[in-house]
Amino acid sequence: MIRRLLHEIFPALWLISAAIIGHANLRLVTNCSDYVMVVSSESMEPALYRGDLIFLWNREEQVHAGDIPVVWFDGRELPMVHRAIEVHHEIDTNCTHAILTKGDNNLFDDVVLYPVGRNHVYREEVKGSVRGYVPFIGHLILFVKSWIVL
Amino acid sequence: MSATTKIAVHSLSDLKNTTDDALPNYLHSLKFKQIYTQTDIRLALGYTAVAISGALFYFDWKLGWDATKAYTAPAVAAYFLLNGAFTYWIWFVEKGAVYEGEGKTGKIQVRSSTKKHIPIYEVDVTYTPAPTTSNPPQTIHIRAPFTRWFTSDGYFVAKPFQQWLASEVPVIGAADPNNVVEEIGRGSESESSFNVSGTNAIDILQQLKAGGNQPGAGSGRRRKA
Repeated sequence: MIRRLLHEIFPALWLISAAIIGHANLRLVTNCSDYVMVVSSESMEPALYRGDLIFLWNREEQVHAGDIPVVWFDGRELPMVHRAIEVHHEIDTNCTHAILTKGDNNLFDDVVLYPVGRNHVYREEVKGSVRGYVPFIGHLILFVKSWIVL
Repeated sequence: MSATTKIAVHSLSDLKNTTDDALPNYLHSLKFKQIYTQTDIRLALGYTAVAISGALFYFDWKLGWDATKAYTAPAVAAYFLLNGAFTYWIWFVEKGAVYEGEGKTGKIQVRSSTKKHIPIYEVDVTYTPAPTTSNPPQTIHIRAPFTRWFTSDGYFVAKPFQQWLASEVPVIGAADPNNVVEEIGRGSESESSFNVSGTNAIDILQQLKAGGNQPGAGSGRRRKA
């Protein structure tokens, strides 16, 4: 009886476990905790539009000017996806390099958005860089999120 | 004993699965005791892999990615190894095994299969007549169309299925002589390979005589009422 029950529920459990391991595998391969994100603002137009699904990669040590890093400060609810416009190497012993970011559609750089007293992003705060995107698909996720909030 | 559940007669997988489910029930009724070793190993491999993924998910949810990152790679590697072993076990060890058990008349292992688009139930039976310590195992391949034990509207009828098994497999026939039909026909065929040694030649000849089990025999001969 128990064997029969275990045998019958196994396919469903196996599917769920395969999805979990697949997700963990992608996190390992990309070295990102969140390797897929949705753009939720217009600050990066025309490169990225609100509703675009972006794919991240975090296996490169260096961030270069022109890259689009995803920056997530400690304690902040959401990350920031803007373009790196300046990169300074070996600033001090606390970080390998410091990055200044700016949204393509913004007039000014992002210093006002950084934590108080900071005028650069550290490499350790970059969760990954955008390597590809799929347009529009993220609108569904944004819609579901807004519906949940309501 | 007939099934009350109707199945789709055009679905080969439904036909096979229903027949596979009926086989252990029949053998249990003949007081065969099922051996679950292969099943237990398969379940152990599968559920260990599931448990690893469950644990990974739980600790990631509780502690976060940074804390569990170091354990993720070993967990993923272990999962793939276990899944590989699980797949190997199903494909190369179990190989479609439906039943393995032992009774008073001997030991038996049954593997079933079907060929694509062909509604014929193919069975490989490896049996060791009692006493199992002194007799070598024998293997026979028997097959019959599903129409023998399914009605045209999809109901399973147990009696012809039991008669077919009892007539074709000596160990089952010995346990259920009432269901042995001397001239089993209507499309069933059997192929036998016998492990003949100097000490068991007479036993095999007697089994052949008792079961009417001759290579290529059976097709086109009418069954006695």
